[in-house]
Amino acid sequence: MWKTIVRRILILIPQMFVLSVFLFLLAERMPGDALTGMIDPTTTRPERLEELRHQYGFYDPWHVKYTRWIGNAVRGDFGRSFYHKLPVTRIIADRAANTFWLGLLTVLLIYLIAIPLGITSGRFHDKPPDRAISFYSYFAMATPTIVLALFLIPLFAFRLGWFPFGGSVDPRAFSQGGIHYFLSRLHHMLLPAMTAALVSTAYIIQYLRSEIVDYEQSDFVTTARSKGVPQRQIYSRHIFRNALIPVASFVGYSITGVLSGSVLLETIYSYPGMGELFVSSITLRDYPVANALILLFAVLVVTGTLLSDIILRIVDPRLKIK
Amino acid sequence: MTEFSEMTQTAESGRPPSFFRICRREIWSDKFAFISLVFLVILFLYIFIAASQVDPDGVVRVNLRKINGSPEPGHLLGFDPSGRDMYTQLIVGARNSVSIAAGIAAICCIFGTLIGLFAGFFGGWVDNIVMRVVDFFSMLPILMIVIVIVSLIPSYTVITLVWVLAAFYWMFDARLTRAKTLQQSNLDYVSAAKTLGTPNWKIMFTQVLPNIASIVIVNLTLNLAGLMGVETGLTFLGFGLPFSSPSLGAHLANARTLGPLLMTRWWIWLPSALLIVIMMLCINFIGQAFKRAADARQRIG
Repeated sequence: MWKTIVRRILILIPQMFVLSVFLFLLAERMPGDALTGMIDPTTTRPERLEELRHQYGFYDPWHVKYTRWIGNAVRGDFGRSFYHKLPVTRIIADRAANTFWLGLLTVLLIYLIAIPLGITSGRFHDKPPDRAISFYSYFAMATPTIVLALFLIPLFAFRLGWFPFGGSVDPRAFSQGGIHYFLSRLHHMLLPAMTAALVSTAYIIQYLRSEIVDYEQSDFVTTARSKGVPQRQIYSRHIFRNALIPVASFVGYSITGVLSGSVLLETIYSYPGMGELFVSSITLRDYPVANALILLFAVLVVTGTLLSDIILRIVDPRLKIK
Repeated sequence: MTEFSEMTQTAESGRPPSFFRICRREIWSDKFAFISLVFLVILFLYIFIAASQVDPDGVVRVNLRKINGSPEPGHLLGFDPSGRDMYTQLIVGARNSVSIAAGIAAICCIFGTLIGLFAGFFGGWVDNIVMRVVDFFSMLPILMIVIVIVSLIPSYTVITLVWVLAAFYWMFDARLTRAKTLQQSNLDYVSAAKTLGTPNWKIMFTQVLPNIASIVIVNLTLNLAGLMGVETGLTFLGFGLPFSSPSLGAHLANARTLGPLLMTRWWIWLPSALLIVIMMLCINFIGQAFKRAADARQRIG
């Protein structure tokens, strides 16, 4: 178990190194430098600016600059935002919690929707409930997040007025604090989380269905049937348990998917998270923020994938690393 | 009856039915896939013929008095927020979105299949290197990196966008092809060909490739739908197609400017949204039928 994890992490180190070089070279091509966020070019003489650039090592060879950049990045210093004139780390830290809670709620909703539907679909395969669920999952696969949001927003936010549109918390609830604050946060997150969850369930549903259908024909189920185990128990004790094992490991991949989806989702709903921050910082040409976000997302994606593998090993000891 | 005679024919000739014949049977026996196929062919023909008939100046012709104008005779779908005829925008936009998705899918399919074939067939260190590169690409936050690259390229066109996207989506095809090739190269027919002294490239392209072709085709179809979604999302965020070329994603982006008027001015975004869903749904239905045809255990027909 530990051997696996250590090995996976060891493989990650060169990958993260290549990624950081790649990002650094991208960053080198981006306009602006470390002084852009601190000094107003209209009030500083160009000679002084050049002098400062030399002093801060703007003209150093790229590997020297890379070493300095990655050294700072490891310590959590990504430079200063050109636009907000604040350290990048602080700006991202302000948004990280919002994305985290929205992501958590989305993953919860995905499993709450997908597992019952997947089980029903597999249990009654090729019967009306399965057909209805399959139809839904085809639609879920074919609908981009934006399109679903465009259907849900006018219905739930404008016509019915059940959910607020945009933002992460009501200003009045913010001042009241406590339970009001929590409920308002939840209220603001429900519609975006629902949108993301509805389009991401299809794969888990189809996977569960095909697993259950496969297990129904397997030897141990035939044995259980011939012993006279009641139908209910065959499903609950023999089939579902086995079919749900791989689904547990999808959690990591779901986190990864939800994170990459956050760029679009948060922009549509004007939800102040990291994804929205990324799009706005690109639009404002605020590259230090964008760059730090990409690095952070890559680390999170890798962690999510690793988590999936580890969970799979824990729940299914038959899988041993070769 | 026809099916029966087909079966006896194949039995007599002693050859298993070809993938295309199985696909045809599979689509024929799945109502949804069949309707989707017929519908999609008609839709694509209509879109491409109608788009080629559109007067190029008409696409960008602006009528300032008709900004967000409602549908009227001669302009069945009204006007967009720039005062352009929405029906023309829809047709040309649909053609652009479909062509771009098809272009990216084709490039990814060609390169991904070739790379996967090499890695899987030769194995060993070739495979190791290729898989490490593929692993590296799959851990990237693709959407974000594509956005950064698009915003950095000074003069970028539709062609650039296609290549940038293809550069980050080929590894899914490569990984799949590699896995299938690895399975095939352990089979007897490959060893037999090797023993007979057949050159490697010949085994790869004339023997292994036809055996994995069905998987490649399935993947190509399903990718097409996925990439249409990606293009729509990118354009929606403002990092896809340039403003001068209409696309379905751009129409959805227009919807954001409407705010509470989203439902009253439905003609600006609803036709595009429905068109995307319908096209992706049809492609998925067909892709699923192909997928069943490629996997003997799941066939209906």
